[in-house]
Amino acid sequence: NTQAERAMAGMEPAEQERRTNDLVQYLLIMDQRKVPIKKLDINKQVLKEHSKAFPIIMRSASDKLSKVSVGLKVIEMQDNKQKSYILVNEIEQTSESQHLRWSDEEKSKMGLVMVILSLVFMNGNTMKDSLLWHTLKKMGVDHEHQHEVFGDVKKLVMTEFVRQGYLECIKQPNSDPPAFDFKWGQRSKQETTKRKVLQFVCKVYEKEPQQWTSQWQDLLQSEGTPNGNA
Amino acid sequence: GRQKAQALHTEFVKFQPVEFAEKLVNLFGSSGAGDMGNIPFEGWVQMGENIRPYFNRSPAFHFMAGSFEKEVQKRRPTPK
Amino acid sequence: MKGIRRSHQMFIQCFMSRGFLDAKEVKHLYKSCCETFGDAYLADEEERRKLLLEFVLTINNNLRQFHMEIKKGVSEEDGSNFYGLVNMSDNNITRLASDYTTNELELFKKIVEFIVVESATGEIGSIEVVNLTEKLDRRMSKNDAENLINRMEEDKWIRVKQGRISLGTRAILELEQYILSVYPDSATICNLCNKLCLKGQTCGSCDCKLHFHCASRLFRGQDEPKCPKAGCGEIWSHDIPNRDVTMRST
Ligand SMILES: [Zn+2]
Ligand SMILES: [Zn+2]
Repeated sequence: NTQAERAMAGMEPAEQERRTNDLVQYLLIMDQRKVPIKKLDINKQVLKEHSKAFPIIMRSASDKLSKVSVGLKVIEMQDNKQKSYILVNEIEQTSESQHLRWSDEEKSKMGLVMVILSLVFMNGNTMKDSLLWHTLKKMGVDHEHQHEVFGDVKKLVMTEFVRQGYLECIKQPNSDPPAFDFKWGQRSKQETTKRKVLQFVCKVYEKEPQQWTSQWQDLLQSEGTPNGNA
Repeated sequence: GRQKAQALHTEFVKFQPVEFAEKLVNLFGSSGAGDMGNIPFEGWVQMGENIRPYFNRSPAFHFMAGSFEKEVQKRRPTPK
Repeated sequence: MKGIRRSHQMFIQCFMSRGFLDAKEVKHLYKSCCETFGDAYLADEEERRKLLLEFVLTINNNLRQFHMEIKKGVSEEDGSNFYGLVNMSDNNITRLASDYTTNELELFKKIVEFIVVESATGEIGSIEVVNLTEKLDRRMSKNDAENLINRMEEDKWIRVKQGRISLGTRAILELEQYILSVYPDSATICNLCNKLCLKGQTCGSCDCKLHFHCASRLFRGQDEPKCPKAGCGEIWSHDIPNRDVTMRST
């Protein structure tokens, strides 16, 4: 991208370094909200008059976040409108990982995220909103009433979880009243896998993963394992 | 077909969302009979702790210094 | 700059997540990081301590460019060591932190001011905190104030004991420079360790102040402890904690 290269050439090396470090700091701080970080905001807050150098400085900052310092990777979200980014842990978490602490709020919300991701995956990678609400109600989570833990459930699921990238909520065309399909969001695809979610479901049912034949096949196909039963 | 599945010794299981929900309530719901079909706060927190290893979630950086505007310097007038 | 390995990254991530660890937790974390990623974990305690220092030094050398540092803080309660990952910069980016709202931070600043300027004991009562909410530009309900106190306690910025609120070691570590620059006349420095002293003992005759654990150390084994400040030398009238106990440094 020669436009970016020209913009870089117009900066002293010390200035390039400073903007890169500022961007790293910016990404770490904005990650507090868990909402994708917009390129527009990066240019406004960090790069300013050097916005044209964005691709190169973003690349340097991502490298620093990953290799030099913290072990976090920057993932670009796929979107038609504007570019945005999330941070994902490069260090694979295991059941032995005790070093990261989640607050009670994080734990409870992520518990709900996991339940929904499980439902969506096990249901064939999509679930109608009516079925989701019906199922959650069986767990005491009613989208039409204030919940003691989650408050406004509908807002949490359809706004917060979608905005953060955990879920996708697609309006069914020509539906009146509006009906929606829930799918995994991009953040979910980055932070976890179908295999891990199936593992969780298997723990709940005390079954082996292969017993869920269609989900197991789906999983294998996603992983690119050659499937003899194609 | 069915014979093939039996020959492979796999049990064909169909996923029932409501059954899943009920199993979760069994695992994370409170033991008291008065709380049918509900998972309390502690149950959701426990579930979150259990599923934490399944997510490669990034830790965020939290701090206090620099997060607010500095107060204007406060000098105490020296008593005469 | 010496290379960062996965073990360093795991260590840093833990600090990012937890914010503040005591000495025991740090040792345990170091062991975990070494074992998870196959770094050598030495059997000899002294050698291992040196390696841990080097480990943290490598981390700090790599984090400095982002104005982040793992620093040691000493508790005013008992002199024990704590370690925190602190932010060292002050700019338009750091203002974007979103753990607390602007109004909540305004209240926190007022709490800090009260503790530094008004309080002789480095504490503020919960009732006084509610009074402070009335001085805010934007109203804050009692419920919201209580909720804020709970969250700040969980994040270790403050300590709450029997309704008395004091600044946590984590807050003192991060805000020492801030407090000394905004309240140069009210903030006192400990005569022995030269660090900010909010909780401690003050001489009966002059303004000399000592942390409880610094007084212990200074007056160890002395029958008639005297004020250490030049030109004073008066009898130190306070009870000195653990005067006859040898202090072990960690
Ligand atoms: Zn001292
Ligand atoms: Zn004196």
